[in-house]
Amino acid sequence: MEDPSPKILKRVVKIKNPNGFHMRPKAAFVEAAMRFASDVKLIWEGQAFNGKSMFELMLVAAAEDSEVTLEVFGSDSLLALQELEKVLAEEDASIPS
Amino acid sequence: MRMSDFIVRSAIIPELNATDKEGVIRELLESLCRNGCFKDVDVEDIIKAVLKRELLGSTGIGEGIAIPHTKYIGVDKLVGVLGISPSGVNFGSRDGEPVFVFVLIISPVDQPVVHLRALETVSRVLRDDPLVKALRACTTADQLFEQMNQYSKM
Repeated sequence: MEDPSPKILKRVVKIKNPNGFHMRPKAAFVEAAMRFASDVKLIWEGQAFNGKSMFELMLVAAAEDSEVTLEVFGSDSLLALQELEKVLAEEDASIPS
Repeated sequence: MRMSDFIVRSAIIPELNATDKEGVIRELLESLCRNGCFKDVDVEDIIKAVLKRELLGSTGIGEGIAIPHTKYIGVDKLVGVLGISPSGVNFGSRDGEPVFVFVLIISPVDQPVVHLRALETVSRVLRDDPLVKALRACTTADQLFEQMNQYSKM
């Protein structure tokens, strides 16, 4: 359901993947983010990156146990926040990065 | 981290001959191998590992750039090589466009942070459109290294 008066939703997420937030989850994140109308940002080390741009996310070298802030704004922000948090919290390290 | 910390100058290829994904990966890895970057390692095995990684999703990140990579058990330090394809190669990039600038990275399996930083460094440097244009205009490995290094320092 669309929220008629969206607010910026934020969630701090700890990276659990031993390989960090590497290229494959980044691609999965962009793909998931593109499914939502909301604006998606990732904040890492004080800088904001467009969550719908692979090129920008490549600049987020967040290692295991580091934290990133997911920031979502738009009509479907709640659903986007929930889905994108799952992608960020992925733990699988069994496949190459 | 700077690109010059891990890009092997003598392995840089200013004009790739390959016209497909496997060919580009092979050409870049064989160049690293010729330049003594892998000891007691079967280059065919690394080629397979990089191709296997590509099957999980193309490392073509768009805007004519690809960063094929893998972590490999037989290497003890991060190494990379830059290669330019004058005519572009279909690499299955996210934006569907051909790739002209390749940076292939091989890193040790036990250094995930170094690996992440290397990918970040390459992406940060190659975000600069004038640099990418300048790289594509270079005709020698030395020119490519100097251009890359100049921007890498900024």
